[in-house]
Amino acid sequence: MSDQVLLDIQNLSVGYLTRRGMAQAVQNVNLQIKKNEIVGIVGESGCGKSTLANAVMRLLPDGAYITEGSIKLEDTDIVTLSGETLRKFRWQEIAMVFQGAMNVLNPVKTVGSQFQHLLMAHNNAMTKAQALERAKELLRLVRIDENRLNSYAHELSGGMRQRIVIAMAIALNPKLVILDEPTTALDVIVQRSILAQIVKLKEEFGFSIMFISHDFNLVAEISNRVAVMYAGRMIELGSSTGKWGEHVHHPYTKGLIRAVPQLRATDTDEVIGIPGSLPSLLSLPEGCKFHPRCSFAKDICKLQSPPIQVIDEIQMECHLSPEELRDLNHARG
Amino acid sequence: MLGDKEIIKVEDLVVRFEVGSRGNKDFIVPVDRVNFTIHEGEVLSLVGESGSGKSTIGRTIVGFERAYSGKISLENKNVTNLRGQGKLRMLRSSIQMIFQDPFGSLNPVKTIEQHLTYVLKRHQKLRGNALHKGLEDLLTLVGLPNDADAIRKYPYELSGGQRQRIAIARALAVQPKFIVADEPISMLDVSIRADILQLLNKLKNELNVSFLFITHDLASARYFGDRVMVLYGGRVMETGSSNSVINQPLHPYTQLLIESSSGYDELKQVEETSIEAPNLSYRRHGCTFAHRCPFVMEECKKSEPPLLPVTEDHLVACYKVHKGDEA
Ligand SMILES: Nc1ncnc2c1ncn2[C@@H]1O[C@H](COP(=O)(O)OP(=O)(O)OP(=O)(O)O)[C@@H](O)[C@H]1O
Ligand SMILES: Nc1ncnc2c1ncn2[C@@H]1O[C@H](COP(=O)(O)OP(=O)(O)OP(=O)(O)O)[C@@H](O)[C@H]1O
Ligand code: SF4
Ligand SMILES: [Mg+2]
Ligand SMILES: [Mg+2]
Repeated sequence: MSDQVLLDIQNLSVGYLTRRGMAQAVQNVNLQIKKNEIVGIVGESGCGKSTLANAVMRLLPDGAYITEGSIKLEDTDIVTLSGETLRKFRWQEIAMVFQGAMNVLNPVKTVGSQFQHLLMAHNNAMTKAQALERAKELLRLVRIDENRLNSYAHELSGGMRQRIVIAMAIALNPKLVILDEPTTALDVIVQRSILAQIVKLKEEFGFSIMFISHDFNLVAEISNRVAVMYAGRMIELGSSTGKWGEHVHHPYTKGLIRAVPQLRATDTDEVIGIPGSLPSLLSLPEGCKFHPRCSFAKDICKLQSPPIQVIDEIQMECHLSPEELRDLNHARG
Repeated sequence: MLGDKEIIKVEDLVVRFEVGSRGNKDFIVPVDRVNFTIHEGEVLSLVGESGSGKSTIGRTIVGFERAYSGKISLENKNVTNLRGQGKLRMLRSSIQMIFQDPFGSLNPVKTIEQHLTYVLKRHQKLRGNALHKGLEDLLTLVGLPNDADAIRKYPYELSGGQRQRIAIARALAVQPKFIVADEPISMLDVSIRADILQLLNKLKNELNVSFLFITHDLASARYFGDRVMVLYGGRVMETGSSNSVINQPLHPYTQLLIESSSGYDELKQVEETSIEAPNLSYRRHGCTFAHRCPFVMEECKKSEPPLLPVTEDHLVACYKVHKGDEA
């Protein structure tokens, strides 16, 4: 990993225009991803992970607007790209494996012809034969027999389809690969083997990865840094070295960690849920968005947006003092 | 707490399905000679990858699928393949099932109150004040608000966690001895899963209900289960107390599962094995896991390893493990 910033997201806000008003799905997010770095993004359903990824890919649906902020890949301003430049930019510079991607393969075309289409659409000079060669090479990278180029999607297992979609994402040597819950539908053994392969490919080709998942154990294991989102805000961002679960964390992150049973737990470890439920984006609470569910909330949390604090290389949006945040490690929920 | 009384006993259960099209018919055995006993107040967690037969076992116990052979007993009474409305109703008054998708199992045009009072009237024959009290107790038990406003809500007006609580409350209204919970938390948001797990724990401890808990998450299998049973291709690979199976896994498949689970360790390359699905054909032979096993030996492909005890409460079906014992 180098210190050179590849992706630079500054103060990004994205909203969906709905009948009942603007739903702020991403709010004032700042995030830099360095060259060859893996940044994980975790958070519960609806917290804005896919919206953030789609904004970076410039693939937001109708009715979604970037209301504030900038996104840059090296020197390119992504927000203002359009037309042919945008089309070339996508997949060539940034590629994405979508949530539920196992089902994106075209059912009536062979895997091989889908590779050819992708490769030739982005390189006019490429012949069919060359595209086929490149497709074979890509399949080898994800450890799939090249004979599978003749297969249709329904003839492949979920794990194979997933590997093929990943091979397509890296086909044009992008600088950034976004993986949006790439393996959630897969069994753990297949999932682990695919993720290990992605990490190996990243080392080999030097791209960067934005890895989205709701499984924070998994994210912490494969990422260099982890960002935690809650109700559109990136409430925590920091290093994932060492045992992530034992770091200093935001009260929400601590809550999430306590809420799931751990494989390596002892009998005495209780799971403790976070009280309340996720807020509606149309009526977000004042102050800290998490305060109605936070066991540590003070008066100020209800009134003012929390400042960013940095402790042990982790930044958190929270009103608690550094001592109080450190004490959460010992507190009971 | 855990009693000696056997609630559910499953003996040599086989479930067969016909697959393939005309002229090309075949049978698969997604459940193949499975045995287990669940005592009063005990939880058995069933784990294994997609298609290993977990749901089929649960569905056969509650009578949604037919056993091809084998025997299912409820408190020493044979309840295998019951036929007829009356008999099935009797079975369902002792055994209930909770599903992964709480939405799918509720009636969209009925309120919470209607869902629950219907069952209370029908099964417990409650009326008037007693019905009122029954409803109140049930709502308190599953941690749902008990005001007039809240109970007049429809399923779509509830959060996923609340819907799952209703589904659980409805199952409990029948006062079952045994509940098959098929992935009851996997569709819920992470922050509310804990509450449902805790609720299930409470039912086990306070009401002495027994559970077959189906999950693909080893950590919750260990958390909620007294014992864990690992399935692969419809066969039991390993079974034992939760702590021994998770902390000292002996079967190569269980070991691979645990090493691949998040929260186990830093990401490391798990030994590459084939990612083909297991052969479910009724004509298969040998160990079902042989095609993916890093330790496969000649005999594994020829004959099937028996499920043998390694310690009193820890059984494994693997030639490598059995050999190691002799050495
Ligand atoms: N097309 C849309 N119109 C209106 N609101 C939308 C639209 N797409 C998403 N949203 C809302 O924006 C919020 C963020 O959605 P997003 O898909 O980014 O969440 P996510 O973190 O990816 O969730 P998940 O883990 O379920 O994939 C949600 O509250 C969602 O309801
Ligand atoms: N009615 C049926 N007819 C034919 N095959 C079936 C039927 N029901 C299940 N199967 C097959 O039996 C096997 C076991 O399915 P089952 O649903 O029990 O697996 P599972 O372990 O619950 O998997 P998952 O984790 O995906 O829920 C699968 O191969 C499935 O396709
Ligand atoms: S700012 Fe206050 S309410 Fe928000 S997480 Fe910190 S302590 Fe809790
Ligand atoms: Mg998403
Ligand atoms: Mg199932």
